Amino acid sequence: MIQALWERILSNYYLVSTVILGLTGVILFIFLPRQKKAKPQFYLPFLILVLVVFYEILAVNMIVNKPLNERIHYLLTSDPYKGWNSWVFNIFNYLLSKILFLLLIRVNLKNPTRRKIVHFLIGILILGGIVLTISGIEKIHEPQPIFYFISNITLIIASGFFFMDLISEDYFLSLNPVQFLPFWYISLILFQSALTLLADVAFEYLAFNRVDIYFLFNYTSMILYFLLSIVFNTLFYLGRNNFLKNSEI
Amino acid sequence: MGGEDSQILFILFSGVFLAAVMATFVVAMVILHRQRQVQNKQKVEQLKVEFEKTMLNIENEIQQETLNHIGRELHDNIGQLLSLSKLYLGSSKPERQAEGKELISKTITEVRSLSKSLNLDWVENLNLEEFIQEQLDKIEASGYCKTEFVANHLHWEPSKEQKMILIRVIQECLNNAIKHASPETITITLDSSGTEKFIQIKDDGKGFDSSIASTGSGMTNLKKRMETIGGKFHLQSIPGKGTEIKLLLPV
Repeated sequence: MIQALWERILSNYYLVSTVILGLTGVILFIFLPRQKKAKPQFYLPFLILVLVVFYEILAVNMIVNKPLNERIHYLLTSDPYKGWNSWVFNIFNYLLSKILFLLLIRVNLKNPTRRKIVHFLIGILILGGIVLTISGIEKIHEPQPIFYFISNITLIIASGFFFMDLISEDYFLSLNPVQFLPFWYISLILFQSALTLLADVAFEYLAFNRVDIYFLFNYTSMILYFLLSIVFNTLFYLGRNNFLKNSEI
Repeated sequence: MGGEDSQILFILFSGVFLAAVMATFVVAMVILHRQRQVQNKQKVEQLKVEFEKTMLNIENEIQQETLNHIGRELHDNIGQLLSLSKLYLGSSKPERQAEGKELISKTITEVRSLSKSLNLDWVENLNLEEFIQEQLDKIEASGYCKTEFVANHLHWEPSKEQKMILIRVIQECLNNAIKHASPETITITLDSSGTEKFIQIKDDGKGFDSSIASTGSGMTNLKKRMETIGGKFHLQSIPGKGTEIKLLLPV
């Protein structure tokens, strides 16, 4: 089983790069000074990297280890088991990782009203997921296009808030956005959310009718996440939010 | 099949369009940020020029006032001392001559203290509380009205620029009170509230309707001067109930 899992991971470049960048991220984070580790600007990207590695391996494991997947499936629902691992992505990718991304964007916001709105968006995301699943509108073990739409839209709105802050808050006046790491990772989050929004909403149609188009969007999303992991690793390596050496920000 | 193809084309086109919109959005935000930085830089430079101009005006005003003061001192004090010295020294009585020499020594001391006020270094060593007390003493000595000074010991050390502006603004406020308000008492309070220190200048004179916009530039100038040092100028006046001016400065 383990052998099959390894073979599956090693045959997928995205998985390999995610695991490698996840591990380097963990190592670089360990070497950060204690007071920096306690800052959300650092521990939230760290949690995102760890969570992504965890759910990507879990998703592969659910394909390899069918009996375990089946057991978990029947813990979550009484519907017939189809061998899918959608529940892994529904819970860990579209709910938990999006909450972490929203929190990370919130940390970089300076406008108190926008920060409150992001809190509200997190509430909508959690409530949306619970209501849609419990009411049976969308099943936890199947693709959830409405929930994917909500999670991507909340991230797009929150990312938009960051850019609004960038052009309106005095805090950002002395900054060069190109040298500011949150600018890069929030831009990547915005791009990933916007581009995958279509693919996620049309997931069912694309995954079953036009796999090539589905993969096109999927690969784009993977490349964007790869870049995002590099930015997070750079953040841990530099130990600051800015490329500038003398910057305290 | 044709319908399906057009759907795929639509999804692809939407994806590319969305990516282009996002890219344009991010680039536009960076450009807007740059523009704001440039505008802010220009504003800072403009404020700097304005500040330097205000400081120059204030320096000129203080120097003008100092010259007036020196003129008055030369005429009323030193002139008198020298005349008296001349008179005493010309006397044949030794005790008169000794008094004349003493007067000359006193004159030298007076001239020395006057010469010190010719440059603005005295502002640096000036204690704001002492300055206010001195101004109020002068008013009271002239018999114009009673004065009161409440200073809660704040250990406040404003910068030279802040002191210069505060000196002029306080003097101007006191002049206005004397000229226009005919008060019984002028009270100055030096205190702090939260993150601000304030100087409150209150009189119980005629007052005026402060809700009516003033046609003169006096108040506007005082307000602008306070703003150049990051402070605020608040005025409140009611006809028959006096005037209250608050000069606020962040700590």
